[in-house]
Amino acid sequence: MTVQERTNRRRTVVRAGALGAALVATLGLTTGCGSSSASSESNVKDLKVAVMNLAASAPYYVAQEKGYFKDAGLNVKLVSAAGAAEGVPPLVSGTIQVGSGNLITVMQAAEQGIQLTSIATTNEAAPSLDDIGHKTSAVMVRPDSGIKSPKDLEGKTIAVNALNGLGDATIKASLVKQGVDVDSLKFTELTFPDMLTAIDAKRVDAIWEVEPFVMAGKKAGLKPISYNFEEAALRLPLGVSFVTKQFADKNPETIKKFKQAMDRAIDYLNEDEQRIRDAGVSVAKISPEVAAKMALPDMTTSFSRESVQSLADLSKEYGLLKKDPDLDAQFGLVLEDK
Amino acid sequence: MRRLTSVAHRLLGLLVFAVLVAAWWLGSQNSLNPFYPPLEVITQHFRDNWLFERVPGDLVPSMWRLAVGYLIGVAAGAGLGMLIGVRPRLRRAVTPVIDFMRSLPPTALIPTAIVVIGIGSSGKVGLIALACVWPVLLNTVTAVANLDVIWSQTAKAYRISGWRYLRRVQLPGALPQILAGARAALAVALIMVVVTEMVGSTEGIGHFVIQAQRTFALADMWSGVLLIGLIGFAINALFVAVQRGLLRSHGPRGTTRS
Repeated sequence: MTVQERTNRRRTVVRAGALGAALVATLGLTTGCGSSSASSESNVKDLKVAVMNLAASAPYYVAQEKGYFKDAGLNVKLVSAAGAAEGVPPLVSGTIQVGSGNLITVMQAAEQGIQLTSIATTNEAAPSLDDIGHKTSAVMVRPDSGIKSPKDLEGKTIAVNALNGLGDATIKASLVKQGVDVDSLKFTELTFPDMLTAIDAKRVDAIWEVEPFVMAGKKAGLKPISYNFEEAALRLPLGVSFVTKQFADKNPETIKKFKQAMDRAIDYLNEDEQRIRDAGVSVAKISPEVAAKMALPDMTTSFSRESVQSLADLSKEYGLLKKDPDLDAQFGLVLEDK
Repeated sequence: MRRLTSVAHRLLGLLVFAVLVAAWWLGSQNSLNPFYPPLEVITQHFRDNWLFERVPGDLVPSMWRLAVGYLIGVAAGAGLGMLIGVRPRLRRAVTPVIDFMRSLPPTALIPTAIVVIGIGSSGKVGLIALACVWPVLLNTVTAVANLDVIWSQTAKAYRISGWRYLRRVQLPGALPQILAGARAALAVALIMVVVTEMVGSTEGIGHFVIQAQRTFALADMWSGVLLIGLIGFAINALFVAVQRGLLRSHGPRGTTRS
């Protein structure tokens, strides 16, 4: 056997060995998967989380950047989503594991047979009408529009980001309390940035904005005429993370750890409000001047049952839901009195 | 004999269609995935929505926008094409502009149109018309420019010019290609109706579909998609009938060119 032949032979052996090892590994993996899906709990560590670019999404980014997810033993990847409803199909198909958005999405999905479970919270509306620094949503009008009080909105066109959503439902719920004939309101759909241009060109009479666009609107001279979240219900719950019910059943430890990491991030943000403004600049790409003055989302680690109930009630009242949602199944893990 | 094969062809088309529908029906029968409901459920929702509860509120506005936008677009495309096609210098001058404009996706202009034209029907109709102009314009320009030389020479020899030339020679000669462009524009128009209604809208099929999608009313969404498909099928069939009639009465005669 020459040297050349020997090296060739060794190479072949090495290759065969590697192939064998790969085969064993593949088989091992396959059986591993088989046994884990057979058992009731899997508690996966790798999570893809759909997050929107909003100031209220700050906890997700803080938990990621500060390593809170890692400390909890989770390997989280944040992917950006356009809206809450858009995040649901990939959740059901398993492309992502955690979605985020408002609570009405969770309630509406359940009504159509898609069972979602909320596993963590982000923010709620301000606890009092005077807490101007936390009122993140407003109906705004032009100063020369002649609309001086909510009553003047009757018969007018209001732009919202999505029809039959959180915006028009809370606007109706807040204005009805102030004696406005809400059936006379006309709603139309525009994106938050487009609204500012549309009202400037007098294409709509009023616009519903959320921060940072409320601040941008104020800077452009618009006047808030109603703070619809707080006027509809104080501490109205606004943001949650959710998973499918199947996922929650199979991964009880994972979702517990996820909530721990998120709550830690919220505590960190609540220690100093400047941290929320900074997150707004770096995460949601808000301009520093706007971020310095805008109202801030009121971060919370749980919701009160009454506030979730009032959101469900107004959703049903204004046609977003047909039935009363099962609050314990959908929000049991994030309620104060759990 | 020829008639027989055309009947056979049509039957074959129906057969393929029926087989696909049957496959969908059977394949989706036991579907538990909320995003792909059984066809049986979709047809029930189709009946509830479109026979005929939502016809006045959603279907009629959509069809009205489709018709007006499409007709404006085709008329503008054919008219401008006639003018540009016979003037070689003008044609060379505006060709780059036309090529630029037709490459722009009109959907990208939706936010601008809302601000400039407003959120009512006019903005949507304007965008539909804008999208329909280009296929018709291009076809008309090419058809008029490449009109049979013998025709134009003969017309010149008989001193047929101006309005009469346009009506008697240019239009009939270019008609087959104008209609081919108009047929392409028809598909574009339907897409534009649906897409423009998904933004800044309060009614219409596109609005219905996006609204159903957002609230997870997925069988309703599919019923809307099904309706859009059926509309496409119906307007195409209508177009073919009109095209045949127009070509018979006004198309080029004494020539096999078509």
